[in-house]
Amino acid sequence: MTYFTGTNGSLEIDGQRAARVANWQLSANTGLLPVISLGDTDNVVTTGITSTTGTCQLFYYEALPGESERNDASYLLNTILQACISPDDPGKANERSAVTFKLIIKDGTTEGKRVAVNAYIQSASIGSAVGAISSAQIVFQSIGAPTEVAI
Amino acid sequence: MTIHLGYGGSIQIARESAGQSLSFELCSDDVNVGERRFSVDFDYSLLRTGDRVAIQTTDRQNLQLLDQHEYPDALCYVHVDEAGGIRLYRKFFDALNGDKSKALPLMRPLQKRQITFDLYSNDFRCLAQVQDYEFTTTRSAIDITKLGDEFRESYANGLIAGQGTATCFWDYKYSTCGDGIGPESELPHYLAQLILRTQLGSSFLGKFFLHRPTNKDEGKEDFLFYEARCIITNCVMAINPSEPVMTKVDFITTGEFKLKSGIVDEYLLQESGDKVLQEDESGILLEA
Repeated sequence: MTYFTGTNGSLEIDGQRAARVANWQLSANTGLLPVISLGDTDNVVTTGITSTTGTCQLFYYEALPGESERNDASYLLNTILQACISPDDPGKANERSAVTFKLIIKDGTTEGKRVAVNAYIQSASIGSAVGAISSAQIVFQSIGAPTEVAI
Repeated sequence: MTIHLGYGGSIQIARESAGQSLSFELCSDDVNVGERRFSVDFDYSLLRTGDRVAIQTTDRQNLQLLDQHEYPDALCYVHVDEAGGIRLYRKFFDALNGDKSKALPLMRPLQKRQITFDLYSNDFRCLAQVQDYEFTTTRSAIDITKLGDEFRESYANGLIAGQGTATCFWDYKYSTCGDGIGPESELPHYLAQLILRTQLGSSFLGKFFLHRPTNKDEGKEDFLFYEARCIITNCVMAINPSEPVMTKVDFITTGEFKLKSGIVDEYLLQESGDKVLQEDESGILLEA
């Protein structure tokens, strides 16, 4: 029997492997609609809308000269944090684009076990605390069903 | 290679406060000129015999406490008796004895005066009767392990903290038996008192010597010591009928501390043993 740990975990953002990922998590929730009719004695449900959401935490860092790693924390923060187009019109900023997340558990095969979603970032937060490394907390929500599921 | 034994180690401490002041209103009735002592309306146990205090008026008028003293402030050592009476002295040694004849003569203030006491850092004195001590430096390791890693990674530049313990044979007063422990030393009982000091906190400045040259090598050989501002966090008084009474204190450091080495600075001193100060209140270094 093989178990998987964080050593086997990986995350791709917009087709590029993300660096410095502390953790990721994916959850899918299906709304259940009751279809109880007169005479039923027990709750009967049918599936409704499924929503897929996820979170990930990425260390925020400055790449050294010569390092090719992208600061993915910065990349995701910039996806949602947009400056206004004009100071005269602070209510308008560029539209937020969707991001493709591929959450992978490496199992020795080329592709690994994976779920890919095209998602909007719902929230992104970053902070600074004494005795801790700054990291970005990202929450995303899938646009529709996952684009790829092999888990 | 040399093996060093612990007898080269020692602890020096200097009294200080956490930057807090004590203030009270000095009235004529508070001063007993004949006995050369006065009382205060704050908890007198905040002051310990031997503390060096800067006394000053808040309105910068003349102090009107010390006789023939035409200044708004004064720097003195205090002796606090059992009834809370305070006498002021020029020398640490005299303050410990509390002898009336050596106390500074006082005067009754002509009107009420608002006075503040600021605990002034004393000179470093050896802590007497130390059996052993430990000083631990800790560097926090911040986990930066990322997905895919097989070995735990830590950030190298975590916060530095110091802590330690010291065990001493308990003593509370200087004896006249010539055991080499005199007023140039601090007694372990002071540490037990310090942890109970409210308002002013339980901090002290400490030098923790790893190596001290012998008298004949002083000035030629290096001293090695940690220098830190410490806070006493725990004090154990261990009483056992068949063993000496021991005082064990735990302390932590606060702020920056250093492991220093080299020849210890020497300063130009007054006859009283106090430093001759420059305008910026720093001492005048003697040339090595």
